[in-house]
Amino acid sequence: MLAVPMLRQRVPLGVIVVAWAQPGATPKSQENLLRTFADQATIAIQNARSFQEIRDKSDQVEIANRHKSEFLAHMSHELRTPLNAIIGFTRIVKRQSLERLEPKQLENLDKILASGEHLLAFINAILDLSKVEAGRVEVSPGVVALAPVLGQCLRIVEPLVKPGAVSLVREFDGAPPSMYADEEKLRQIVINLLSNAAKFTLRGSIRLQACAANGSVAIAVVDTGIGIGPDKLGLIFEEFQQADANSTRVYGGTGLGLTIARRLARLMGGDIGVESAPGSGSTFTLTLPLRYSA
Amino acid sequence: MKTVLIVEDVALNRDLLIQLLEDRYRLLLAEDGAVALERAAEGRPDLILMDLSLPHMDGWEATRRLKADEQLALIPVIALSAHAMRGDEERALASGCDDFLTKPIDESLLFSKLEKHLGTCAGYRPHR
Repeated sequence: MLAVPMLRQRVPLGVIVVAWAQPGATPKSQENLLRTFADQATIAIQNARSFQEIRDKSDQVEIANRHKSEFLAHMSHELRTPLNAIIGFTRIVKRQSLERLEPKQLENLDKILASGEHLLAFINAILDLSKVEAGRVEVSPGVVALAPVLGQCLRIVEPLVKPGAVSLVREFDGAPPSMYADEEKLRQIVINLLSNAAKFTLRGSIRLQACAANGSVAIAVVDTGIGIGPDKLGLIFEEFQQADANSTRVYGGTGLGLTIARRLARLMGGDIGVESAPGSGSTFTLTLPLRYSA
Repeated sequence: MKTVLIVEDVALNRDLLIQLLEDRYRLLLAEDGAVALERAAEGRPDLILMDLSLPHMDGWEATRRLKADEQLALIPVIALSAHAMRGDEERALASGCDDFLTKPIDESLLFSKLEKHLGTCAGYRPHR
């Protein structure tokens, strides 16, 4: 009889026992063969166990992720319901008593409204980000007439630009006439970059440029704003990292816009890059394949 | 005066809609889907503002039943939902809703949709 242990890191997984019908000494060669066999079996068992563990883990991750999405959906509902009332009733009060209120009271109502709207934008941004992270955002590509879309983006951010001090300049006459991309997401990214530029540019210009090269389209927003220091450049795409810890308070915004914009760009096979220096403006460049393919 | 049925379970939101609309429309109220079906059958509103997450019978189911009832199927239903998650609008339209609004309610959007579906000018003037 011959017994060979199946050891994994000195912990026995089992024992292989072979018994012969005829009594006699076991040849060394057979013992070695059995040892090799036991080693192979140990590896096979170990592989099967690891595979099972990974499968269990990924099931757990999937369940946790689903819980997270459900939690966010629920939270969004619970937050929006009272917010709906706060914003709605404040508007009604403001409208009904516009003539009767002291300027200070009116100002305070406007602060309630602005805070409510900021909170709403924030909840929406968190939801957007969580949807991208949960892989629940799908790219729906189509033919995009680039120049008209960029023109619309400019018109949308026009009210955000400091009047008289900052000019919005269209420099996308050299843009390719059309591309194949998700128009809604493209628009969302460009509006985000433009409204960032509007926020941080107090005088000078904001230029929207576009050109095609090597099968991709580069859309650049070039501003003459406050700029970003080299130590902060790598951080601005992270969640809640405007270049200055105080700047969300000074300049507003959720601190999530660029994070979402970059995730969306990458989802479409592109990216967003930045060049900047303090005092000499920033250039954010969105590159996207001329033809999106999944 | 046209009649609008407001289906909304949260008292605060119902109150908000009442204050927004009471000068312009005759209002009927329901706090869940089952009551909404009864009110619609009795009161024959010209339009229904339907919240989607409701107790007992939700807004999707109530809309499906309304649209399956040939007496009531022609009443336009505008879904009103705090659900901003993707797919909600599609789900609402698939249940038979004629239009969709997200909360918090954008007043001018609400009034323009009401006008569109009621085919009347409600005389709303947006304030600043």
